[in-house]
Amino acid sequence: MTAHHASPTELSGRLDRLGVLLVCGSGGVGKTSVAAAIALDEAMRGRRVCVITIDPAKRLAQAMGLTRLEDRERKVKLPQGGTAGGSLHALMLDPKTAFDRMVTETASTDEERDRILGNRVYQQVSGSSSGTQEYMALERLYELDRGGKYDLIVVDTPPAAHAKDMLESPHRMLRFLEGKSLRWFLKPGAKAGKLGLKALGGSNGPVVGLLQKITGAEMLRDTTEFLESMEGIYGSVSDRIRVVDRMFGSPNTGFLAVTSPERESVDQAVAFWELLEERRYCFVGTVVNRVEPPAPGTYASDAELDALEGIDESLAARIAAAQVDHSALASRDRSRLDELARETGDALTISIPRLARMVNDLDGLRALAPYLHG
Amino acid sequence: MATRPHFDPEQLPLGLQPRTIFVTGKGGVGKSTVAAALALSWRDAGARTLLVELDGQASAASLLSPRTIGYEPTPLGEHLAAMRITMLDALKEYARLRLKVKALADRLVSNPVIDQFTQAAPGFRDLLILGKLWSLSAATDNRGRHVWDAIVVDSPATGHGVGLLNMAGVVAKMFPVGPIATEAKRVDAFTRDPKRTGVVLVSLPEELPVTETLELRDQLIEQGVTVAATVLNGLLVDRFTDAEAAQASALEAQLPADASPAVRHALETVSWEHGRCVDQAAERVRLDAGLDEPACVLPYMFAPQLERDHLTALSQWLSPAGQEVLMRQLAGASDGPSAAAAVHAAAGETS
Repeated sequence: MTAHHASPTELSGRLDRLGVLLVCGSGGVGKTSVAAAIALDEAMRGRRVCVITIDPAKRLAQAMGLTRLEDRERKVKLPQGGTAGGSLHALMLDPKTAFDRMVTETASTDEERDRILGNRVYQQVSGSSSGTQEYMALERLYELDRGGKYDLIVVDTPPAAHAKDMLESPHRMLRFLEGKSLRWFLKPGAKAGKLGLKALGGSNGPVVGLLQKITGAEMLRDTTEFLESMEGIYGSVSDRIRVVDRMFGSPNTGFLAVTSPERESVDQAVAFWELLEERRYCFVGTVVNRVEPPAPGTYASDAELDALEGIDESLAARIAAAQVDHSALASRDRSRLDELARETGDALTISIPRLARMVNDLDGLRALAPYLHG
Repeated sequence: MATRPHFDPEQLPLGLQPRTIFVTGKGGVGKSTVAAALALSWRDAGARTLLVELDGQASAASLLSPRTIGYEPTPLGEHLAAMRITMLDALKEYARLRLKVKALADRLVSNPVIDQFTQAAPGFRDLLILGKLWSLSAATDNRGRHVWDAIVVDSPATGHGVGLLNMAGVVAKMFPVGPIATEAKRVDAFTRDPKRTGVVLVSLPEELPVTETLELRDQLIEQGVTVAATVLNGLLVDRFTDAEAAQASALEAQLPADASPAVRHALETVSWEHGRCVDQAAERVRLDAGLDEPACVLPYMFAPQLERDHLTALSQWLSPAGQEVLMRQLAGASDGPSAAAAVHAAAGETS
């Protein structure tokens, strides 16, 4: 079986049915460029598109008019030649600002809001915790989707160890904010303003005492205060998280995996597809980036190389060696592509060759379009 | 412990002092590969070396051994061992140290409260892991010598990596008193001491990774963390001169339409490979311009899958002698193509 390649309408046909595209993959596979290229291409086809990105490379960010983290949509000037009506906006996510806004919108009073925003554990966790980044991208997506200004929103998901981290982020966020058992254990002590064995009743009291012994009262108290301060908004935040989580299963939402031909990366894409199948989410396909250009599978003979004008023995030997090396990679990549298509139920598999030049401006992104459409 | 007559700290690969090295870089640059190769090269130079994988990052040690690596150092041959630090194991050890009674510590660690606490408490997880690394680096045997001459940590990718090294300082500022403050201050001093701790940044000869490497370097320096060395991984060693590549292009243009596809591909390969080498060289210049010392280089391995033998080859390229050969070749020495052939042959021999 051979890899199934995109007909000119295959990718765009699938994207036409979607309002949200989540672009997932492990770090270093060119996910940001692929997400941006698809967004640009759809905008040129006449759709109103917004791309949400996290920490793009500087030049790519500049090309899209993004100069710093500001959490606002910026209009990107489209190249000539697009279908009328199309537009492209780009937004660089600032997780801290998004978290603050979520708190502001869900707090019932100003005091409640200020108590959370002013908590130093909150300030630390909302700014740097890696688990919150993924969720905040979804939170932002949810807001934009609800706004109805766009036909398609493309999300370049944050670099994660595994593509599935994205899918699990709403539940992780829930668990994180819940902290129920911890709050319950600590409450009497926290109310008294200090924690200690004596302040704590019940069979778990001693455990908290032990915890205090290894962390000190301060860390325990501050963390508890943080969880306590979130209690007031927990109800509305968790409702919202559940709504965001449901977006995954909407027929309007599709997932695209980006991978390199490396073993680990391909295996991850297959595992990701399996997870989506299990949850009955819509899998658009896989983009395999940095594929070695195809080789004919046969080598030039010594006689053929010798017959070429001005090629001496040393050069002929080096050319032959280079051909063997590159053919081996090409054949590996060919079989990885086939394997990927086979193991993802013959899903759409798009390959982008290893390009001599890096993609870092709109023209470079535009140049990816022919590969996306096969 | 056997005597190590050849051990000379001055002659270690990358010219590093023996210390704890965090190997980090953007995702996909091959940092686990470099961490494993670095551990091998230090071991070969005579240093008692420990390769450490962190939670959720497992791969450096698995490149060297099919065995499951746990919290206790597992020997992988003479002078080399590997271990894996998980937050839970580090917490267990820390709790036993603090509480002094194993039963109490176990009771604490098995309680669900702990899981919630470690998720919400800022920096607590990172601090536990760094604390374990500190104790490994400080550990001495009964003759007062360090148990490990070198500790190589396969660290989380960029972003998270910076967070990990910065976390002790953040915790020390947030919680200035109490047991956690004592631990945070000690660990913070450890991560910022250039004699004990350094970072090896791994990059690729491409625009985005080079830019990110330079940004990460600035960030680390600002945090007071020492960047001990930078490794430019996956560098193609040019087999062809400009003139030869031009000649191949010209020949390709003249090929008749019915020429053998194999000959056409062979000629295309020349200009394609040379073109990439030229681009990579430009990125290497840009990287080196942003560094105090030029980056160490590792050649691209033409191998469908990285095997144990390739790691041996990479570890040899990291040695001072290996670096010298590569540098000479990359500087365009007159023995150019033949030295390039030597590099390719060495990579090929192992496959």
